[in-house]
Amino acid sequence: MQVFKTFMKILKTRLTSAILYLVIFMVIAVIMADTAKDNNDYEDYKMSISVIDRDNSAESKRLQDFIFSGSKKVELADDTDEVTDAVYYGRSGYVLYINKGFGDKINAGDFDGLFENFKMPSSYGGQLFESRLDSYLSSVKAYMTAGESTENAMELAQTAVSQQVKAELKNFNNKGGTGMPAIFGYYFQYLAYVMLSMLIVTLCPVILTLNRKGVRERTMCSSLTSANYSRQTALGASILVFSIWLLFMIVAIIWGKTLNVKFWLACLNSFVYIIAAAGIAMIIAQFDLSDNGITAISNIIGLGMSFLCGVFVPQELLTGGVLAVGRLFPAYWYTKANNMLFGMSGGVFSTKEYLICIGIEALFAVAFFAVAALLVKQKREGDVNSLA
Amino acid sequence: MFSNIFKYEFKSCLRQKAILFWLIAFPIILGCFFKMAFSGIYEKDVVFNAIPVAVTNIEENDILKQVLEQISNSDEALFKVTYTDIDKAEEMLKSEDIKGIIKASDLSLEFGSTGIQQTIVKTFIQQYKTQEKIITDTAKNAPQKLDKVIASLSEKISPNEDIPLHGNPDITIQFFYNLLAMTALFGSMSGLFVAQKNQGDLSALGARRCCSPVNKLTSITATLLAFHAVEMICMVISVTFLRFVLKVDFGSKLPLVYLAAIIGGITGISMGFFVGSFRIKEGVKISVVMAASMTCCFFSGLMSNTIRGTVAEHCPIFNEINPAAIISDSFYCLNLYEDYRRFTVKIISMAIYTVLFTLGGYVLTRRRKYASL
Repeated sequence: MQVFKTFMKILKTRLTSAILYLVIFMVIAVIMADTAKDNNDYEDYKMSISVIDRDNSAESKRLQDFIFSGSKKVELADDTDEVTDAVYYGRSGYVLYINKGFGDKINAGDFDGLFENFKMPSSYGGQLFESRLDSYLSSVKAYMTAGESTENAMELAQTAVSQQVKAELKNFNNKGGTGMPAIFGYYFQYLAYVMLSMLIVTLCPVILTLNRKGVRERTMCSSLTSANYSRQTALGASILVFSIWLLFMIVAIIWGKTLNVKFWLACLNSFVYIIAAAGIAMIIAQFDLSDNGITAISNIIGLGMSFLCGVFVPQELLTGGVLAVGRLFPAYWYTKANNMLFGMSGGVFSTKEYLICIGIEALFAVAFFAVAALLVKQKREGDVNSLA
Repeated sequence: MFSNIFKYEFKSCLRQKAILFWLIAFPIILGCFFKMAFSGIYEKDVVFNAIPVAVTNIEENDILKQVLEQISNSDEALFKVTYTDIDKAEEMLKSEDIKGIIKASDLSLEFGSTGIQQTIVKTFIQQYKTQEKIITDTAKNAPQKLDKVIASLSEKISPNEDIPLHGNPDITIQFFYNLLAMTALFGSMSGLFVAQKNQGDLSALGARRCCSPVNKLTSITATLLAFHAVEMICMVISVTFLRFVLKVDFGSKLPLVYLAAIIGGITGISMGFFVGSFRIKEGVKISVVMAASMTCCFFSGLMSNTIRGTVAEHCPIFNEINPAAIISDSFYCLNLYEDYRRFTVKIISMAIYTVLFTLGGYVLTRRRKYASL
């Protein structure tokens, strides 16, 4: 088991870098999953709203009670930079400035020029909030016309606008419904990027060291058969791949707590995917790259594939052309299966579709390993010729 | 001697494939991927378009029909309405041709999923029911004022004035800002080369330089400046490619975008020079630089456009000290702000980082002596 032992020794020398990458990628996966939107259970969409009250009157406070009865409150200072950042980076969907004199104007029945607002132009969020606000103000005005005091009118308007409407959610084809938090689905989704990058930066340098010209030629001169050499390398690589996968699954188990059939199906999906990713890493390892080159390739393939296959951007938002390109990569099928399992990005679970995705990922793995084997063979033949 | 070293280092740097890859090929390849992935997303996900809905049993509610026709036939239509029966409507909902079903008979709703568009549909029905309730309440409590109340409900009010957002509002452009920030920070790989070339125990060239009579400060400064010059060229190529080939709209202040990209690149090189000056293994140095750059870019929003908001909420100071966030912010400020106050702050922050990293690198490499090389 000389080669296997050497594999592990090389891996040990790279342990600091590997642990560094592992921690970083683990943090990326967990934080991205944690910041993702959880919208699988039926409820009204709650917008994040900021109100900057320049009037500070009893009326403006009542208005805020109404606004935050159906929205999430985001505290912002009356500062242009903070407001612009919050809207642009999606922290707040709408910023409403209540103008000074709001209370006096309302009491006088003047409903014009009460507010200023800052939002992304022509956005869905702006449309939603403004239609609620307009409905509320029209109601206040109507009740005041009917002879109610401002205080009563605002109270009655809030009740009228907040009337319940019967809304039913049809769960077509068992959509969503994993019984697990949606962030769990996002964790698995981001693993497509994380596991691939992690494998490229850990597995490739070890294989590259074993493949270094002098080392390779000395090994070829030894009594070790090439089949035995390949078996030992494969064993080392398998242990590394399995350990990385296991680590991410342990984090998922500890974090997710609720484990059901869909969780295990997600584990299976990630397992098949990591084998395909190992195939990609094995192909890259056959080119004589420097550490720098490996990092470059890892970033290009990891980030590129993730953006094109719907890992960082939901698949339902990608255009047909992009999805057509995405289909040429295993991350697309991994993400598609994951979307089906967790009901994300319009995914609808179907056992047949899930098995097709897993099957295609497995075929990718076979194809990648076949290409890697071909490259190894070519390299060996080249070596034999040069030694002869 | 300074000019000689500068000239040869400049030429040598232009022949470093790894550096050219990081600084030119990397942003070009990823930029193309980004352009493909983000084409049309802003219009699809953020910009309001009429929401497709199906309405059933409309013959039972004439008033609703009138209202729906009014709002779906205007220039800024709220809904794209299909009148049909419940079975057909459910088929459409299942195949996601519509976002929801409005049942005119009892004003109830049916959705296939939840989200902002569904909530807009629900809010519309709530508004409709609100008006009904107000009229009923008035008819009960103050019937003499009913006409006035109905007139008041149909009066248009304009309580809200928009504060315009300057520049390009497309939020996907921030991925390109972060791509440039990443390219700038990956300049740190060339900064590592600078340190390596001047350390006797790390490269043969470094060993020869340590033996030469040239002042170390002169030698390192000339090397650093040569790398900065190459980085400048590469950043200019990257911005030009993104702007003129991929047609990324950086706003109207393009010369300043070039300036920010160049200064960002200089910051990246100085960061690499600083890390490279530590006496640790080369592999670990590369890992540290890459991991630090990736982490900074991740928190700056390279992989998710909402992460910046989350950081601003929980640890706002981090956005002010994260080099990737500072670089991407400088482009953002040029796009969205009419004045240069905030942009200047970002440029000064980059300059401070550059000075600190460079001085740190000088301090770490000065008076380093070797007993044997």
